[in-house]
This record gives sequence, C-alpha cells and structure tokens, in this order.
Amino acid sequence: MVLGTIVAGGLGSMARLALSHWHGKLPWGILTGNSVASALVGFTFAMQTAMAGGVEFLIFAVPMLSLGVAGGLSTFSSWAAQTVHYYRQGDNRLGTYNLLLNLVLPVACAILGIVLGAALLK
Amino acid sequence: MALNPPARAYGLAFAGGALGTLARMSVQFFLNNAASLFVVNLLGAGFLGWVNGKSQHPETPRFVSAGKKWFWGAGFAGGFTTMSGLAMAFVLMVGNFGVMAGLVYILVQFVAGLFAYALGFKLGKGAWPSV
Repeated sequence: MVLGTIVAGGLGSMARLALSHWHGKLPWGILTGNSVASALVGFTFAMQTAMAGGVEFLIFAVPMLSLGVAGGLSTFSSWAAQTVHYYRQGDNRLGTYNLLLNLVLPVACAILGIVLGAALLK
Repeated sequence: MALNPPARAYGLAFAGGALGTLARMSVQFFLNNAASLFVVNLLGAGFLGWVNGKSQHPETPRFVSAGKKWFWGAGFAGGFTTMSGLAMAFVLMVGNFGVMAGLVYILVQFVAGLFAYALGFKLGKGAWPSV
C-alpha cells in the first residue's frame, strides 16, 4: 500500500508538471491541479464514509488516490513561490487573486467532491 | 526551464514527487492531520524558496540546472506539500469546530507559507526575493 501511494504521488507530480505550463496572467495550471486534487480528496472521503467496513479494496484505493495522486497533483510550495513573486513585483492585485482563488476554489471543489461522492455512492 | 519540458523532466518530477510523497507520509505518521499539514507545507515552501534562492546565489550557486529544479522543485517540494489536504482539513475543521477555527487555520497557514518561502529564499541567496 505504501509503495502504491508513493508511485501514485510520483504520477500526480508528473501531471502537475504538465499542467504547470498553463500559465497566463495567473498560474491557471497550478490552480486547476489544486482544485481537481481537492475534488478527488473530497470524493475519496465520501467513498470511505459511504463504504466504511464493507469493501477491502478501499484500504488500498483511498490512500493511493488521496495521499498519492491528489497529494502529488496539488502543491502548496509552488503557490507560495508564485504569490511571493507577484507581491515582490509590486503586482498586489494578481498576488491577492492568486491567494484568494487558491483558498476558495480548492475548498469549493473539496465540498463538491464530498457531495458528488455521497450522491453517487448512496 | 524549457517551456515544453522533455521526457526526462517528467521522469525527474516522478522520482522527486515520489520521494516527496514518502517524506509527507512519514511526517503524517508521527503527527495528527492538522499539525502535519502545517509542518509539510511550511517546510516545503521554505525548501522551495531555499532551492530557488540558492540557484541565484551570487558566489556559490546550486540547483542551477533544469534537471535539479525539476527533481527538487517541481518533484520533491511539490510532492511534499499539499493544497488538497489543506482544503480538506479546512472543510473538516469547519464541520468540527466552526467556520472561525477553519478560517484561522487556513489563513495562518497561507500567510506563514508566504513568509516561509521568502525566508528560505533569503537563506539560499543571502538576500530577500527581489523583482
């Protein structure tokens, strides 16, 4: 299970590297990776709750998806680097947008993942 | 770094990301979820700042090559830190302790993360991040 989660983390990191090149005025690729990963974590949380005690494959699937894929796909360090870069450039507006969007969207996606997971697995 | 990274970049990001995931799981083994997220995100942001600062050090630069940045920056630091875990921790904290506790937790971590990155950069380069 640990090895599978580590490999999944590597795969998530590869996906994040591919997404990171989608960079307009804001780093949209990193924001997308953070949001999709948060939805995945929310979904696996709902999956774990809905199927608790019944399905053995969840013991492997949940950590691989949430700790591995989602953990590798999302990043806090790149977000911090980009936000500091904006503020140091004096572009406070983009820095604040990057801060707030990475606060609101991943949280909204995590809630969406929970709701979707709960509805689908009912 | 190249705009369209070669296949080697993905290999290095995979290896660094896998190592970062292992390191994150190790921290989460010893600490509870809220504390471990704080530790990995602040350490990871500080580490990336140090790598980026060290690559610009005026006398003894390190991590200059694209390969080292892909492994340690995009791979390790990215795989070690997590925004999805933080978002989920916020949702759980709001559910358990209320909106104010969740907001304080996530906002303190956001602000501390920015300072950790800037401090790491300062330690690496010997100067604060500049324009």
